[in-house]
This record gives sequence, structure tokens and C-alpha cells, in this order.
Amino acid sequence: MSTVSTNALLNDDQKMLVEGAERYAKSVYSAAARSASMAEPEGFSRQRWAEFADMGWLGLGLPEDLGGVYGAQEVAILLDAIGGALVVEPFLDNVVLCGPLLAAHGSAEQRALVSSMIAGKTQFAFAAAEARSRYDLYDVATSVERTPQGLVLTGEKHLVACGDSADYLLVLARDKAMPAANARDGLSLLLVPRQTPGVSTRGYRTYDGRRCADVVFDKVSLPASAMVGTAGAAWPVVEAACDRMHVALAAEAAGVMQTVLDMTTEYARTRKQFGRPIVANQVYQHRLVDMYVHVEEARSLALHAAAMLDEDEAARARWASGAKAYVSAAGRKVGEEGVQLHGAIGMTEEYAAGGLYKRLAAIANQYGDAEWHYRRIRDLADAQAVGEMDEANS
Amino acid sequence: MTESHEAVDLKEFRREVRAFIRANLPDEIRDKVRRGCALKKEEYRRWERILAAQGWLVPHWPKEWGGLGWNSDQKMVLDEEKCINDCPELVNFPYEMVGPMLMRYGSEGQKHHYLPRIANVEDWWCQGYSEPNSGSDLASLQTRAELHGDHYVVNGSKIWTSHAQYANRMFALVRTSTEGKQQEGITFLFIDMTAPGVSLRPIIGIHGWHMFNQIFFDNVKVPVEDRIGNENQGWTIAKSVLESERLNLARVAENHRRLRRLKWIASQVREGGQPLLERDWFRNRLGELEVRLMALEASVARFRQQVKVGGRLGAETGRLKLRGSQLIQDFENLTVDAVGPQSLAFDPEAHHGPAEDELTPWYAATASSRRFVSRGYTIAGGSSEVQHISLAKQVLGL
Repeated sequence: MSTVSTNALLNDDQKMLVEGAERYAKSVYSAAARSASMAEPEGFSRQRWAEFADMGWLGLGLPEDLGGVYGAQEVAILLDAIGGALVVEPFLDNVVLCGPLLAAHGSAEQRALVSSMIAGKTQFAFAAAEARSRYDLYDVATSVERTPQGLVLTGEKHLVACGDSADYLLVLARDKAMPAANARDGLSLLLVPRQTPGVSTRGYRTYDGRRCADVVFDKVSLPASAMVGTAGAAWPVVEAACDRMHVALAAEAAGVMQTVLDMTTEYARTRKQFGRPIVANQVYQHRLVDMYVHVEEARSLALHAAAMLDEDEAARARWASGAKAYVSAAGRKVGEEGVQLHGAIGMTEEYAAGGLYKRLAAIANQYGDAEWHYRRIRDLADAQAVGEMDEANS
Repeated sequence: MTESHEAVDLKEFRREVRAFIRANLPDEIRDKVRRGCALKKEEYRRWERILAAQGWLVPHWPKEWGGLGWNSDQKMVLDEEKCINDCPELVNFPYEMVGPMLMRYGSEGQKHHYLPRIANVEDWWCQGYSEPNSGSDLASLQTRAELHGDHYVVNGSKIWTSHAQYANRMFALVRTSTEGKQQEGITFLFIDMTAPGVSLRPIIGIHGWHMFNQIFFDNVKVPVEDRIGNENQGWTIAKSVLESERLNLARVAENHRRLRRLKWIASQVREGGQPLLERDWFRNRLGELEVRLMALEASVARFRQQVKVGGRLGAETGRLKLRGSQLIQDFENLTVDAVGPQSLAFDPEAHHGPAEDELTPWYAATASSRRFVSRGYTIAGGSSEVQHISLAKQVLGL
């Protein structure tokens, strides 16, 4: 229904991408296939991952010289199209977060690993958050010491997606030699092979069917070449990567929300109570309309924010936060409405509405909740806004 | 707005528009608009004439009718800049509806008579749609027009007519037939508000201003040459004119204006020794509204893109009306909450402009009134409930 309006704006390549994704979701990535992925020891399927690579998905938005294709718009379009399939493979962490970051700031050796990731042979995990950080990823205690023999990494990371299966961990750490007045300064990124002595992991599931790990770095010795980009100057790089993640999560959420709407509409048409389909009641119709409005606003924001990713930093950050704030609140709401309008069946483990709701709920509390992003938008705008108004009132 | 991402020539154009407005909008008018005061008829007219002299009253009209032939991007920039730079919110029916409608459905005589008069600010138009018993169900209207030779005789009543006290012309939908479907018996007429038999009852709004009117028609004669299109074609004409207006219903610029005003007020008001703009509760609520405004902006951008690649806009744009109007109300409520208890003081003097001995700071004086007025945004022009019904039926196919 409403995807028609999106389709009008797609070019031929994008249409192929969407149609391919929809076909794949229907024929391969079924609910049963998803359960099989989750049952794998790593929490996802290597076979599915190889198929992603074959379809070219792992190179989306990455530089052509590394084997990548297209840009941020296509990443958003794919995630929107595939969102409802609730893919558990670590697409976002590799293609959206670590891949572009390493491609832009990594050494030649590190960039070669991105090529290998695009080919489906290497996986990265983003190890930034700690229990203390909540959504402020700069608030980390993990430290790196630079010695004549190399780097020494110490600390604990929390909720690292696929942290116990990835080949490399991209770790955010505080440089011990750079005492910083501002918590955003003096941070470094290190690319650490997971098998390095001193790295230990404890894996667990998240409620939305993904696998995460807590990772401990116990005086891990690393060569100087493990550093990504300039020592002590990692924060702007991490922020840009997180903005890509914000947009990607918004696009994925739009796709999940669309699926909730479609399912719920269909259910309300067929489910009969008091002798007629429940959708004959206007209260159902109006609540479905409110869901529809949220879906379309989420999609509009995700696409717009994707287009803004290459703009100046202020515009990029504002729109990325706007999109993520929106889906944090509206996505969870749509998920809740899906469950509510289904009634008791929506509360069951086996019925899809619950899984969709749980994914939207999980997105709401990852990479900044609604309030966190509202504050970020205000922080970005503050100085500028008062200045503007002074000018207007002068 | 989306300024930083526009094509270079449009950016330059925006700067020109802004410079013109800042140089030519009279200070006393700007001040009253910023304060949220009611404007007098002469003040509206003065600004309209300034715009007309520059060609910017109807720049989107074709050149043969006194326009500049601007494209929709240029027109959008002008409308946005007027709005955020505190220009009066004009009663723009003549420029956005009556003119384009005449160009499409008017006779040559009607075009030559009315279009120059509109472009030169000679008439004041009001809208005669709603009736006491026809609100959201507009097609049930009953004001009757009977053809007697070379004129119609009109009897009935219109209501909720804004600014009718200033108007000398009304564009009205009237019933000419009770046969068949309701929609098929409606005709479009221009009515002379100074004609014998037209009378007016002022209606004071909940905010205390004379805003609405009820109009009565008692055997009012309307020459047949003031009928637009054919008899019983009125509904089709009215609908087609509404379609061109769909994207404006998001009220993006009007919401931006309120956002800006609110931020400024919140930088002035203090709570717990801090400007409100630094208080957590306020920042959260403001942030939420800003994000909803971004959602509207992104939606309009997507619809505009759709039009540019040759797509047609349909009922799905109803979501812009729904959300744009709710957002206006939420900005107005947050403005009142920012002002706080001072918002209870009612100072009718302050509604008309700067006063000698003001009861409250200027930004507080009109906050409550503006908020009460804003309740109408989800009622007028297709209530939120009607938008829900139409989206359910036409978009979701329920």
C-alpha cells in the first residue's frame, strides 16, 4: 500500500535492490530460517551471511576501490525493505558502523580487512559502550597505554554485538598519556583481533534475538599498528559512525513498523467479533491511521537523514538524531499498538507481532533513546538559535 | 529550514527575499506580528500593496495575469521567508484559490474583471463554505440559490467566516439543486457583500477577539455572470482548487515561526535561576516538538520529490494536515507553559499592539489567546477526525 509512494522515488537500481530484498525475505529469510540462525552457536547463520555477500549487500555504501557500491541512500532503502524479516546477522555493525569507519580512517592493512568483510570473509564488532556509558559513548574507562613495546589495552566493554564471534573488535579507549579536560578528547580507536591473548568474552542473548557479549581486555599487548586513525582524536570519527547507525536504525525501524501495520491491518480485516470484522469499528480504523502516519513519518525522516549524511556535520547530526529520536518513540508505540490490536495472540512467542514489537523496543534503547536525542538536538541548536533570534529581534 | 541543502541559485534567491522583507516590512507591523497581536485591515492592506508593487503578491501567477511565472520552489522560499520573518499571515484565498480557480474555470469576462482587481489589492474576499448545519459534512450545505432570469436569488446563512467584517466579496458554495447526489447540486457563486439583503453577525472567539462571523442572505440578488463554471459544477471546482494546496497544509513555515518565537521566549523566562531554555523538562518537550517538525519537513520534501518525478499527490497528503495542525497546537501550548502562571492575566489592550502600561511582558500578553485560537487548526479545513476517516478509507482501504 504505502510503499507505492516510496517506489515512485526509486531509480532502477534501487528498485532492483528492493525487489531482490523482498524476494529474499519471502523465499529464504522466513521465520523458520530466522529461528535456525538464532540457534547457531554464533547466534547467526554463516550461510545467510555468505548470501548477503553474494547479493552485494555487504558492500553497500562502501568505497568502490574496496569492492563497495552505492551510498547511504541505498543502505536505508535496503534496511527499510528487509526490516520486517528481523535479520539477526550483524549487518549494521559491519556494513554501517565498522566498515565505513575503517574504510575512511584505517591503515592500508585495515582497509584491506574491509574488502575482506565485503566479500563475507571477515567480521567486525564495535566495542565502544561500557556499563557506565549508557548512551554517552565517550564516557569510557577502558584505557590504552602507549609503550616502546607497543600498546597495552585494559578495560571492560558491554553489550558488544557479536562480540564473541567477530574476527576483530573495534575498541574505543582512553589514551592514558592524554589527560583530557573534556571527556570527548583523548580517545583512541584500536582494531583488536579477538583471538589476542588477554581478550576474554562472555556471550549472551538480547531479547530481540541477537547475540551480544561482554568483553574483558586484561593488559592486552598490541602492536602500534592496531591504532585506527590519529591517537587521541577518535571522537569525531565515532560520532560520524554513530550518525550512520542512527539513520540505519531509523530505516530498519520504518521497515519493521510497516510490517506491523500491514499485519495488523490484515488481522483486523479477518478477525471477527460481535458478528463483524473488528476493522469495521472506527476506533480500529483510526488507530491504524495513526500507525500509518508514524510509519510514513519514520520513513520520510530516515530517507531525508540518509541524504544529509554527506552534508556538513551540524546538518548530519541534527537529522540523524531527529530520525533516531522519532523511531525510538514512534517505533515502540507502533509495536505496542500491533500487540494491542491483535489482542492475546499478540502476546505469544510464536506469533510474529511480538517479535516485531521486541525489535522496535530494542531499537528504542540503543544508540540513544528519544530523550537523549532530543537533548542532542537542543545542544546542537542552542548557540545558533539564540544568535538567530537576537538578530531577528535587533 | 532546509536552507543549507538548496541549490546555490535558490540560496541566493532566499537571501534576496530575506533582504527585501527586512528592508520593506514596516517596523510597526513586524512588531505587532511578533507580539502575536491582531492586525487592522489597513495593516494587512499596506503590506499587501508593498508586496504587489514588488510583484510578490501573486508571483506564481502567469505573466499575462500580472504574475512572474515563478516555479513552486521559488514560491515556497518566499512563503517560508515571509512566515519566519514576521510578515502578517495574509488572508490568501484570493491569491491561492480564487485567482487560480478563475484561470481554470472563469469566463474571459470574469478573468479580465477579477484577476487584475485581485493582483492590485482592490477587493477583500471571504470564504462562504461552512453553514450552521454543514461543518465537516460540507456537501450537505443548504444555502439556496434560485435562478430568476439574469440573476440568482440567494437565501440562507454561512458561518465561521473569518474577516467577513472587512470583506466586500465572498466566494460561496450554494445549493442549486436537490436532485441526485448532494455534491451534484452545488454551484460556485461570487457574492457582493454590500448587496441589499446581506447582513452580518459578529462571533467573538474563546480568545476574546472578533474573529468569526455569521452571514445571512435574505433574497440577495447575484447576477448570473458571477457564477463560476456551470450550474451544479461547484463541488468539482472547489475540490480541484483544494488539491493544489495540499502541501501547504503541513504548515512547516508556520510551525518554524512558532518554534523560533518559543525559543526566544524561553531564553528570556527564568526558572530556578536558569533560562528556561536550559531546564531539562523544557528541553525535552521542545526537542520532541522539533523532531515532529523535522518529520513534517522530511515528509513534505518527499512529496515534493514525488511531484517532481511526475507523481500525483492524493489522499495520503491528509497526514500533513493532521500532523501539521496538531503540532501548531502543541507549540502554542508549550509557549503558554513557558510563560507559566503569567499567562492567566488577560489584557485585551495588549492584543492590539504595544500599550503604555503593560500588565505582563509583551510575549506573555498574547500567548494564551494564540493558544486558544490554535484549537481551531484541527477543526477547520477538514477536522482531524475527518482526516482519519479519509486516510482510513482512501489510503489504507478500510
